[in-house]
Amino acid sequence: MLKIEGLRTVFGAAGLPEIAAVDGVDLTVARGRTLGIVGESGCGKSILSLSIMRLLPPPGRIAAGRILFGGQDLAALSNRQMRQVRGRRIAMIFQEPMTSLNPLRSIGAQIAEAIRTHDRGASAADLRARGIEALKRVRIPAPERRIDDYPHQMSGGMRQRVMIAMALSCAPDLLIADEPTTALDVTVQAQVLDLLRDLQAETGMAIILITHDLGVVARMADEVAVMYAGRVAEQAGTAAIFNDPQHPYTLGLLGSIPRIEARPGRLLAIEGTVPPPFALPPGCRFAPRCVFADADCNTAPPPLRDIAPGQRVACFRAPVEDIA
Amino acid sequence: MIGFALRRLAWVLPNIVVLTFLLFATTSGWLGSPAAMMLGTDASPAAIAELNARFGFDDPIVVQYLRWAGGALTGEFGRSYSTQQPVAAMIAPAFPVTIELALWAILLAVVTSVGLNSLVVARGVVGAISTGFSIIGVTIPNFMLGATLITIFSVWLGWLPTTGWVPWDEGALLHLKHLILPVVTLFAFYFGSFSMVYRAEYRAVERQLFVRVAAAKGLSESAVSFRHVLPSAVLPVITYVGLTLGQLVGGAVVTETVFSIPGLGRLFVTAIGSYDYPVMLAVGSIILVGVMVTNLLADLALAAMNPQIRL
Repeated sequence: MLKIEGLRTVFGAAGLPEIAAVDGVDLTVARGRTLGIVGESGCGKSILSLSIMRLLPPPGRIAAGRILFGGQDLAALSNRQMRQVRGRRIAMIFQEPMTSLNPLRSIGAQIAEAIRTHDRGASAADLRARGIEALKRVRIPAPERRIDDYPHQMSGGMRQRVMIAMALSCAPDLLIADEPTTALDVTVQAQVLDLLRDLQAETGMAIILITHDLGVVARMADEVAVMYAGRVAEQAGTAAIFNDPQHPYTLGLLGSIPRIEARPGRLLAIEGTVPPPFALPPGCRFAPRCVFADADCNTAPPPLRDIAPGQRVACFRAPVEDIA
Repeated sequence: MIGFALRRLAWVLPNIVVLTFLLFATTSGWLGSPAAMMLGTDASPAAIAELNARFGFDDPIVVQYLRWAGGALTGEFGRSYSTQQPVAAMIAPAFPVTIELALWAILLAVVTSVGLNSLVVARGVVGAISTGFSIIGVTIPNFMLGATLITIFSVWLGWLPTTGWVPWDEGALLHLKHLILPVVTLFAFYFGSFSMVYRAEYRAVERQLFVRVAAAKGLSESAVSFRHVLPSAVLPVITYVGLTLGQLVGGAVVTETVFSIPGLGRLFVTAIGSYDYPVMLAVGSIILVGVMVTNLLADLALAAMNPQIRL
């Protein structure tokens, strides 16, 4: 349903060299499925999601590639056409529920605005009924009363539910959730994730779940794309990523998850830091930190290639079983 | 909110007492002898003593203040020392003139500064021009702008009257024609300063996440600007309007003088020039009460717009 081909998003202030935050990304998401996108801060996962929404903060722009969605290339749409897509067919929720809602307007007014933007004819009574219905679906108690509340009268978890209600009010085909539970405490995280999964089963929407939390991915995603320094390092089914990771970076990420059964000691961490986008190595971007790297890795960037059915990896040295 | 207004009013009253007392003490007692001013510098000591006794200038300052305040409460501000007219009769016709001038200028300044700076099209060239005008408006002295406008539109082009004031009932068109130049002169400064306050706040609000969320709903850029950024960004402008309107209630001193408008500002200047302290006191008190009342109104407006403020 969503197919991203060779997406390159650059930030270029006048007179300075362009910096590619997303550099040649290919991804697909199928109807009703959840794609988890994981990676460290700065790997380009949030910029990728804003590219899909065409909400890049200036001076960011899509420099190359296609974002095919329901037969249209979103990257080529006019602003007016894109507005018909935003909120109506692709909705988005964000990391910070505390600041996602306009503090000056009731949540009912904000949900109504989302509906009215794509359904000009809706009457006030209709908007209110649909707003209450939307709050009911995200399991907010007493929605008839809460609809008149203002954001500051609600907790973080409740606000994120309101955000989800607002995002789903126009029944989008795709929901992009950018770290939707990172700012919430652990029990509320679980509730919100369960809610998202139930709503997905109900509506059949696809979800792109952006996170740095592998636990969230394991719980939610059907497929996982691991991003590193603006590129996809590995994309595979969730089980394959966790049981049979092929990219050394994925291996490293999995090694840095604390495990209950492991004997106490130091967590495995990947040595070094992500290279900044203005000082990328010429070959594989992970090579300087990679324990498996050899001379080939520094010559050219490795292409994303199929290594097993449904598993693609951008590494010359994969499969790692052969070298480990 | 009514409770808040009443509590605030309860604070306003003692404030007014203290401040008017200071005003009274500085103008009437501590700056010089009113009797000497009324009778001239070569008056005989006997005449001064007689006048002091007649008007009570020898009484303790608190007693004098209470006598003045008692009169003020009933609208009796004494007589002008220079014209011998009742002060109330001098203020009564000047007050509405000043209020009209102030309201037009502030209203136009708020609407244009907030409106222009919220327009999405005003980002490029229009934005640069509007910024330029704001800086000119804030920096150019009022008397200079007034004199320049008179030269261009009255003297050279002959489109508008140079100075003066025509009441509404002597012809609405003539009234408005006399208003245009002084309103524009006064407006220029407030347009500039409101624009600067608004633009700074606009840029801060624009970066908030809820603005991106609004765009993600599919709203147009101008809907995001006017419905989501404006209501938050306008709040400091309202506070600022509360302050400036309160000051303008006492008259736009320079503008009224340049355009010979019979408002409180010109009355105030004349009174200061002739040490006519009953008039100075009365206009000063009006400014004082004006600032307090408009600030209260601004607070109430903010509370009405921002549900996070519980009063």
